[in-house]
Amino acid sequence: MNARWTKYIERSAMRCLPWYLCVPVLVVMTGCDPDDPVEPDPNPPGGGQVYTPTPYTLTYPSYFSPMPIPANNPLTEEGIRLGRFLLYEERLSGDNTQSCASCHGSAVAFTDHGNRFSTGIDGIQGTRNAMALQNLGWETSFFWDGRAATLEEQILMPVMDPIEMHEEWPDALAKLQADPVYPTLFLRAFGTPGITQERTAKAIAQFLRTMVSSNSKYDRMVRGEELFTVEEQFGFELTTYEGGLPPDVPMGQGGADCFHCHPSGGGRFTDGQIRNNGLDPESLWSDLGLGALTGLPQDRAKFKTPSLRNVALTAPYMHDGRFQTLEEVIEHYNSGGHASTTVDPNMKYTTGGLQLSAAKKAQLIAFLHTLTDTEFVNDPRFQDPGPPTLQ
Amino acid sequence: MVRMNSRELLWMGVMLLGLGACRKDVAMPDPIPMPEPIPVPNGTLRLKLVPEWEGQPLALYTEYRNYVDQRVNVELLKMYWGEVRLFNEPYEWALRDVVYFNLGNGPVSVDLVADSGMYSGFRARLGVPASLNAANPASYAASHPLSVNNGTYWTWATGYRFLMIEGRYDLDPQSTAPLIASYALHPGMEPCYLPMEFVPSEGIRIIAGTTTEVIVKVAVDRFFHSPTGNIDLATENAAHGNNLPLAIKLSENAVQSMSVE
Repeated sequence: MNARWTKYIERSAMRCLPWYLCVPVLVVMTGCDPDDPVEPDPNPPGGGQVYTPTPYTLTYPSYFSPMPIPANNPLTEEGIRLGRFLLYEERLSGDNTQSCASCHGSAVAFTDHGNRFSTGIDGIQGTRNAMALQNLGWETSFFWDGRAATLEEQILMPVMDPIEMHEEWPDALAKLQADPVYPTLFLRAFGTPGITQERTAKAIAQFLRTMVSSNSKYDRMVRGEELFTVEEQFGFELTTYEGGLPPDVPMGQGGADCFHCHPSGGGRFTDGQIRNNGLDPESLWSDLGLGALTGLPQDRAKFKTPSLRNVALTAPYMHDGRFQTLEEVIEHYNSGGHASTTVDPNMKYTTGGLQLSAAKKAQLIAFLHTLTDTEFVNDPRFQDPGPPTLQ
Repeated sequence: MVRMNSRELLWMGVMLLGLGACRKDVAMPDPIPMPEPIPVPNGTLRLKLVPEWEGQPLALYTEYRNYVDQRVNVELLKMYWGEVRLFNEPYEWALRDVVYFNLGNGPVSVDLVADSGMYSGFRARLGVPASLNAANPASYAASHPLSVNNGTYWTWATGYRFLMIEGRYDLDPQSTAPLIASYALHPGMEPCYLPMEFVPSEGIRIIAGTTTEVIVKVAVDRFFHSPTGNIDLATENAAHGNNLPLAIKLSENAVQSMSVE
């Protein structure tokens, strides 16, 4: 109750009531505070259906940073379950043939089955390689050019993209609404009836946040459950050493210098930044990445730094899938890449390259394989659940 | 005993009816214990860092001339301050253990709660205190200055880069070609954890309930030259913990480049 109004009533009561009656008056006034629990409205909007979703506690290793969960989209058992159905829901596409998972298959760390580019429902091919769906809860930008700031925002886009799922959201929602099960699943996930694109994105985002890869050989090594081979250990150390060898590079450490962009701290093996890693000379830039989005010359040819987790499963590599093998990737960085006006300053060996020996390259490859998490890619919780069901 | 007339009895009846109207299962709350007195935050010291190049606001990706007339730009500028404290000799008042400044988009401010009073100035160190520097970066939430999301953690050194400055240069002052050669200077580790002291001419007055702003100018051009050491980008364009003399020189220059009005 408004404090000023309360005061007015109290004063009025004091003037007209004997003193010994004022106490019960105040007791009554405070006892009937509208903030107290009240009986549910027997006729609430939406036909009276309400549901309390069950909170879900996500667990991950202690060497991972705390995952930021949006306050307006907390994880719930029901939300995650709905999100899983929706990730595999082909009716979100224009001709009911493609789901999000069509281009993000579990066996290949939720990338597009080795395809360089993905093909949409109209047979049109995209121009960028499908990114892995793993540990997305820690990311701060999405897509190769970082154009979405949140997972919820990102999820809305492929459905509408004319070269991907090519569907209008109202039509997609109508299909979900006509389903005998989805209305109830949405009610359970969000507490009240209603199927909206925001809720669809929220549910899928909840599910994606549970897709945490944290049981690779590297993880088991960190937890003291398994040992690296000598080759894997050397490979890991190479990723954390500066590149270059004296005298060409004073103070050089002869390493592969991966850690600037793919730090293991926090468990992510990416710093999530958007940068130019020197793939092409300036004269050959066609896809401008972030630069196409911002129009700024300093952003040209910059793309998001992906995680190294499960990298052995996610070929082909780079934003345009130009490299088929990890060996080709290593060779690119060993060459130093191309100098340009936007190449990242941490690509410090555009002249002369890293000069890694064949043995060092093999060690790096051995280490990268330790980041494969077969438990994650085979986890039944992340596989296609089939048609939506209430149970 | 107090005797009540019929009107008073009527009022009492109305009151009792009112009480009865309340739901039976609404328990009367226990008396709320009085909370311990909470000290009211006295005042706020706002430290505003303003990056400049030769007295003008620094703009990333803008071409400048360095102390030997070479063309140079800045593409990234971040730094940590540790152990920020106000002082009045011989006393110090700790304000914050670590503060993070990403100066890529111009001036950045941080607000620090401080006791009201008059102070001579404030002190800090360039970098992260040893105890925090050794902590597990995964323990920090995304909003924390030491979050790995800030891209400042140095995995191999299991510590943080105290200062990060990156950009491009051209050694030929006459050239008009685009800047391509790059530098990336990242001092960190204990020897680079250097003390800083700022003494505004009129001291710092913290007034209860108000914010006192102190502007710290960061003369980024002076990162590359100072009375104690110049940085030659031809040979000194990378410092990543593996070139400690260069890292210390840059840290010293950076400390000397910062001043208050």
